[in-house]
Amino acid sequence: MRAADKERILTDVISHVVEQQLARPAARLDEMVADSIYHELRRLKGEHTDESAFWGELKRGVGQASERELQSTLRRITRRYAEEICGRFDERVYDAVTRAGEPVMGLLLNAFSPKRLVEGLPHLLAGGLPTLPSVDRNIVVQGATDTLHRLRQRGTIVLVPTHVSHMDAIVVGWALWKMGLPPFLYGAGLNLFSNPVLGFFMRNLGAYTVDRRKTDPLYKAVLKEYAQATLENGYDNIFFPGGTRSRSGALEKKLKLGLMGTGVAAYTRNLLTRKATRERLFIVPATLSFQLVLEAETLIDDFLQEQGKSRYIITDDEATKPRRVADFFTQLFSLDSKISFTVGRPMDPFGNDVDDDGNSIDRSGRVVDPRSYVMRNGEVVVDAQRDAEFTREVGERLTEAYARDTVLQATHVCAHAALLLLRLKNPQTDLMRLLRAGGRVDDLPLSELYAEVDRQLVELRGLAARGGVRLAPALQSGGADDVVTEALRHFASYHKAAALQRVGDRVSSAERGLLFYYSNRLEGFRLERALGLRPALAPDHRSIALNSGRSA
Amino acid sequence: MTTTNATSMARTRRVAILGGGRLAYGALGMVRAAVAAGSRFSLQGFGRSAAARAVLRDGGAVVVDSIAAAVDGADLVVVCVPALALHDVVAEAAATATGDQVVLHAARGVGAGFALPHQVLRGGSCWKKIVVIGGPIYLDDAGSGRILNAAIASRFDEALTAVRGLVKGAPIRLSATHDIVGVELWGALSNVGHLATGLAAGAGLSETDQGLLHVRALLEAGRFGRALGAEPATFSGLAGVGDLIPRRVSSQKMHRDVGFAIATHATTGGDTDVDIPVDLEGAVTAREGVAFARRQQVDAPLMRAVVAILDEGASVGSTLREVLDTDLGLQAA
Repeated sequence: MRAADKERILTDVISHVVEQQLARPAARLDEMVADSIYHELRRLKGEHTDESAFWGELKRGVGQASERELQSTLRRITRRYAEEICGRFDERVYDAVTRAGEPVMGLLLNAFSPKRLVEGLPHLLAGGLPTLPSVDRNIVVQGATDTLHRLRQRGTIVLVPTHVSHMDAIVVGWALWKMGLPPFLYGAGLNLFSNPVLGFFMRNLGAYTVDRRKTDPLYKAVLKEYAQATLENGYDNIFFPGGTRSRSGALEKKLKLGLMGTGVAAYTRNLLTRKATRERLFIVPATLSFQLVLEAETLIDDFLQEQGKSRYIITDDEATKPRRVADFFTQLFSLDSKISFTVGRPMDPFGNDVDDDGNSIDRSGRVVDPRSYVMRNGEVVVDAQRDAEFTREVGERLTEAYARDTVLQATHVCAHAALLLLRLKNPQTDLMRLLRAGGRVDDLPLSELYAEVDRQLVELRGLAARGGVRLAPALQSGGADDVVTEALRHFASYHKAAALQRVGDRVSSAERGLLFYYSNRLEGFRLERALGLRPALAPDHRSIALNSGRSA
Repeated sequence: MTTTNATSMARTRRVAILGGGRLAYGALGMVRAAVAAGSRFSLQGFGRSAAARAVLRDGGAVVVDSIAAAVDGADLVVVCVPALALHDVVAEAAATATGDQVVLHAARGVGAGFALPHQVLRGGSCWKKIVVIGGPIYLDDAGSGRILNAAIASRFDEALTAVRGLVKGAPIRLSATHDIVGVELWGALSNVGHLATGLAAGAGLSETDQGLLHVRALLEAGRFGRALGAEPATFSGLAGVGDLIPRRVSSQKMHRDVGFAIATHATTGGDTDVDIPVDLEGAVTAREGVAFARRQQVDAPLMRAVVAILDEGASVGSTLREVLDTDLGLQAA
């Protein structure tokens, strides 16, 4: 964020949030302030830091405070939250990084791994280009990239990718740079800033902090208002509407639309104030697809343990272990593994398609004036219920776009085929038991796996031809044996135990949870129906289906 | 929270009425009542037939020569056509439709691919703020000076408010919900139920059995509702049980009559075939419903039975008895 904008945006955020809080029906200022203090002191229980001292001081003063003093305290809390979220941003770092180009961006992508940085440092210090492997070969940027460019000239972009891994933000950052676009703002979990190298770059390339441990509703209001204010001021944003990394490995079906809702609100406020030079706002879906996922083991373990009550914040996964990160990258590069970043078709904040010139297009193909959706009796009107409904509709369109634009990989298809066959062969064993304890039949003839992969490839190629999904190159033309070979090669490379492994002419899983994780990427494509099985996951993809056995 | 950037002056709101049947007649009556109560509306309408245009004219609407002209500049559009006609209407309206218009319809059926009416309206235009009016609306009651009862549903509060404003002062009780899917779904499936009970009555099934066929229709609505994201509570409200009971009391309606005629003809072996209207909403809903049920793996025995009787010449009595013989407890699960 430009330094000139920062203070102005902060001032706007504070004044809007305080105004909103004071306007809440039946709101009592003393209760509001006490509520914030309670939430924060509970979070900081047992800590003796500047932060706990700050809240302790507020607690002591709030009892006898006058209305005016309470307002001042509310403003103080709001400013504290806003400054923490906004964080520091150094334009010099930003300029240097973006000017330096690919080597530094590649370095950034490797910044998860101190070991790799140390290895590359002498070359950099000697003035040479880093010997770190180029990520250019490993990240495939595709889809509506030209449209994204054109729309950026005409309005503000809200990029909304799927969320698989902590790698996502970095891959997206790299992809934007590769497309010749400046970094977008995005909210990153506070835990990601604990890596000093990564944190330094993230902060200076547009990340603002989101502390998910904070349960104070006021904090959430400030966060939302901050995102909205940046959009109003023309800053492109990245929101991850999945809210958190997909625990099951499946595509997100139930989105968290809180931040997404700031799109309509920012658009409407800009129409009312007429302050923006670019009033238009475009929602651009994007998908990320990995053959292997850095944190797959932790994520699926969390999913299976909690069953719908997953930990929202995981602070001890593979992304925090340098050796695992190094291993991951080593395998990624040595296998010539591809990460796909696919830009989907854009839409306006009301769920209408948008053409390459930024015009909103209705379902009959006609150009529609998006302003009309926020107008009543000829005037622009702020209406929170209306905006929530439009945002819900955008959410529905996003889940469709995610299914359409996700790139399926060999590991997904192979895992899905193997798990379906295991479910078929163990009809009396429910899915959870099968995953945890195994079934009576625990391995499969390779020939059966080939046949099932072949069947799925036929279905998926048909779907891809109709625009219903995207396939990685190996799936587009390779035979079932090629796909299985590629998948087994990946499964054998990085994870501690293989999701699927070959023993003679049979295959088995050394870690059925991982098999489930990679298989779940194909949930929702209904490949199980032909085998007479029900979906493994509930329709929202957040838990195992209540009845995941054979269909009637 | 709703705020505007300027204080809006009370202004005359423009209402477009599309179609001139009984629904248009009812809508015009409501608007007249609202005007009498002090609301300011101007009416413009379009009807294809001379009779429809006469209804509009007699109701105080300025009759224009196209749907697009009627819709142009309207604040509120009232679509008074059957479900199967929605597709053509919206195709013509799209040229002048705008995103701020509130669209009210009363269609009780589905379109191709089991598209619900609001999906047809949205699919062919930029309209999003759509309201369905359903439940036990008896225009005959209005004609007798009795109070009408109806459910209105829209995902947008502002659209519900606009419809309330349209009938302010008219003798009607409105219950509002956001569940447009549930209200439309029951509207469509209730006609299948009436068709089935007409068939049952013609085939000599008991009153109890006829009532139970309505219950089957309600169960199928619940199952379809789950697949489509409707709220279960809707079917126990005015657009469900609250519609079923009053309609069952007053049972001499078109769908039941057609069903009765078909079954009587089949039983007595009349010389000429019974004329089933091509756009009979209950028949279309049953056919589309069977295909939808197959795609979505939803059980729909009543709809399958109705289609088998209408299209495949299945025996009315034995086919409906088969439906009734299915264990209700398991069906409900």
